[in-house]
Amino acid sequence: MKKLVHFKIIMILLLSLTGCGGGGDSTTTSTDGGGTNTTPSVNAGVDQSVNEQLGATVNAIGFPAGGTYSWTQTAGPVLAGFPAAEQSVSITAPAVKTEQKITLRIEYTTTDGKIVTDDVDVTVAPINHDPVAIASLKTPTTNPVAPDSTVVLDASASFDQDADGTIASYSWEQDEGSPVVSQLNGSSSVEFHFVAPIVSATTAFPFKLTVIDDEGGESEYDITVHVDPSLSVVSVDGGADMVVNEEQTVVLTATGDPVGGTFKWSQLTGDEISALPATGASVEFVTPTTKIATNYEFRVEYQSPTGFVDYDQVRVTVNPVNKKPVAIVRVLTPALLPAQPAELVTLDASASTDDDGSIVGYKWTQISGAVAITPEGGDDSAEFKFRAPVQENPESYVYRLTVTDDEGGQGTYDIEIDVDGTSDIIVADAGVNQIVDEFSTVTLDGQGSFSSISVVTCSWRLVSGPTVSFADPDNCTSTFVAPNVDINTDLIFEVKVTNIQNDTATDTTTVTVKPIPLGNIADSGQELCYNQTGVINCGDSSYPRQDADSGRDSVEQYLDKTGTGESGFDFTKLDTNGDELPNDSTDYFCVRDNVTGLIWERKTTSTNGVPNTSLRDNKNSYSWVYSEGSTGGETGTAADPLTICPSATDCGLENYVLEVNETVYCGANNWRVPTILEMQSLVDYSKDNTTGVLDTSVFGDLPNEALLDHLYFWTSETSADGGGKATAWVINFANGNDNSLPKIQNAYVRLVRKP
Amino acid sequence: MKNSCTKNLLLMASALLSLNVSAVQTCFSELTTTTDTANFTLLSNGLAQDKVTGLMWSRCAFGQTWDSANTTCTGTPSQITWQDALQASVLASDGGYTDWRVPNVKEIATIVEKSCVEPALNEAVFPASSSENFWTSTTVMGTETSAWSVAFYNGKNNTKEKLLDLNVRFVRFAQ
Repeated sequence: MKKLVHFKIIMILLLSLTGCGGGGDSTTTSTDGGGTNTTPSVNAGVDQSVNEQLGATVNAIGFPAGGTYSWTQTAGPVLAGFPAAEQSVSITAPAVKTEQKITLRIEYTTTDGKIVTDDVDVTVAPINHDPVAIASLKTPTTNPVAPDSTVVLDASASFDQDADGTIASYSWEQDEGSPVVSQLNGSSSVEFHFVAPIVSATTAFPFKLTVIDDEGGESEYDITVHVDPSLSVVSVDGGADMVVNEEQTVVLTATGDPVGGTFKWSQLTGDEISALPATGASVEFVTPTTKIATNYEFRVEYQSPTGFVDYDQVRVTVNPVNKKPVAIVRVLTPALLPAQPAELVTLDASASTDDDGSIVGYKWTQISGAVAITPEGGDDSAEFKFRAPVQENPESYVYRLTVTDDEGGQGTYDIEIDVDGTSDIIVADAGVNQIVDEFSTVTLDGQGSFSSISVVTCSWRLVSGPTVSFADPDNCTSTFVAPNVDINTDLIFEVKVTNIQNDTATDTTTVTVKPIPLGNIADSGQELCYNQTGVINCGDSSYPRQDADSGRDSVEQYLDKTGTGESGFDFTKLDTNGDELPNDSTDYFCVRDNVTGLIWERKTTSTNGVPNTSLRDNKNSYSWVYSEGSTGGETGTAADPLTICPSATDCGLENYVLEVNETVYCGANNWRVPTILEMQSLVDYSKDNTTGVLDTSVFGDLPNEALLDHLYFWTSETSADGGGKATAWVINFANGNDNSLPKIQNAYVRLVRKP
Repeated sequence: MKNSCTKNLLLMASALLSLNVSAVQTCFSELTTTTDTANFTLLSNGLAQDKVTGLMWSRCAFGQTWDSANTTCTGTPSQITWQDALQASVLASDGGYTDWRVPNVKEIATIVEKSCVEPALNEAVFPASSSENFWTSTTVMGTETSAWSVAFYNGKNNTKEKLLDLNVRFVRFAQ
């Protein structure tokens, strides 16, 4: 401001000077013709001082008036406009750095031609204008800026207000109180370079620019740079995605910016790779084995030296590289090549290998040979069988094994099988294996057997399995009935074929016999089927699935009975001690039912009358008294002793059981009265009252029906019918009918026991 | 299962609801039961397998339909001739089995509940059944125009003309 005051003073002085009239030196050049009082003169005015670039006026006054004026410059910085033929001339002071004197001369020519001159000096004083400081953010272009970034402040827009002035110096200064930035290029350049400090929160960095012009004027400019940590610059590049093969070395390399930070590699997807996680810019590993193209994704984390973090992901696609399987064929049979005609050739591919997996498929193909061979069994298993062709001349047959591994790779192996020729050929063929039901008729078909020189004869034999009887064992086609089996049972048959030269060959076939259900209770005994009125063949669709169509009776002739018996019944005769006897024994005491497991009393028979003296005579009878049975609360009343039975105690059932057990009959004292189901199990419903409904071939001990006018046998059970007390179940062995009889009545009994 | 209690018959229920024979079963607690429910494996599809005999039974009489939601049989048992009964068994497919047949005279006796009448059946195994005669596949010897049946009002077997119309319940070997 001091300078400004000074400037105003100069202006006042200038104005006062301008207002003055003349003064200063004046030179008059007299020419001839003038009088004393008419001596011409001219006055250029008083000397003046003026600041540069301001205006001033010089004014001349000539005497006598009426002449002409001509101004010229005689010294000082040259001004425009001279010579000037004016009385008064305005000038503009030139810009000067130092005080300059300009001398102007006025030449006045009088009307009569006399010329006078005068000089005036105009002293030009220099005036300095301060420069203007201007600073701006050049790099980056936006404010705030990121930490750690290079910042450039630019003062080039500063200027000096003096037209002829220049900026002599720049000075950058960081205001106190903020972190000191690290300068990059000194603080006296037009540009100021520094690194934005690392800050944790947005921070202001004020700077002051000072510019000084060539005349010492100076000016300042304040600029503030804000540093925002959220603008941190860090980046990492994990590299391009890759497609590689299994078991290949892979190097993942990341590039971090700014450099100097730390890397962390981790795996995101795929089977675990042991090399990861890892640190360092690069991680190296060998890709895992795989059967299918598999993606592995990795992530790299980069932390810059200043603690900023960036991430990148890279994907490595691992493609499988299949090693093809190696097909290997071994000849299992024959032991020695060449194979003989009709000999079984067995090839085995199980030694084939696959280095990087497993073999999942086999295929056998005939490549060459005199005839097309039909394999025995499939052509897609490790084992492959065929019959060597029968031929007159030796031939070679080439088979190709193709193995396929679990990745679809294939390997092949060609094997040549030489087969001898023969003029004397005999081949046995036992036919295909069969699965049949027990008791069914099975045909063995050996008709595929042949000889080149004659017809052949066949002979069948059972190699293993339950015994069967052949219908025609010396015919190439033979039949037999599948035996009774309890579980699936294999029967192996061999056919031996013979030609006219007595050459022989054999082949075997397997018949698997399956059991059919027959029930585990005693069958009814019926072996015949019936329509509405009489006997028909079983299996009739009009009267289907009747009694004799199923069960033990339906296959009686094929049953392998333990003992003997009619229909499906199977009884074993036991001696007085309960030991087993041959089926043809006539001297037996009790009978085991091999179907139910029950052991039955056999009554004795004599011609004596009733009461018979024999305890167990078939003619003795009893009233129902049996507390061990199902009594319904009514145990019954015993008939009087020695009336219908030989007991001196009473003729009730219970006493009879007691007395029989006392004798340890048939080796046992656990005899009892049977239940109704047990009693009924003995009934043979194929019989009628002419014989009684019992297997008479084994028991043969039914009394005469006329004796009591019935053949009721007691059971241990009271009948619910009629009140649940008074009657007990009986089975009528005249016809198989069940009934309930008043307990006080007389009926027979056949005791039973289990072991 | 013998009950030694000396009480007289335990009348579980007995009522003649109308003149039509529509009786409620009567069981006697002092009689030994012969077809305990525990002897059967009750299958979900209306079949019952007798673990003692190895026979599989249809829990419904022919003509009835198994109601699995209420574990009972609905409908009325059909009454058909002996020949029709034999032929119907061929067409039966209960539980997906196709080897159903009419039971023989010994087989049907194994489901007679001897402690009950009207019907002489374990109604937990054979619900909503009939107390009438059921066919067997067994022809009567000497009277081949007749076949054996079992009357389930008292559990006794009878001989019936094959042309008569009786109930039937199918059976198969459970294997």
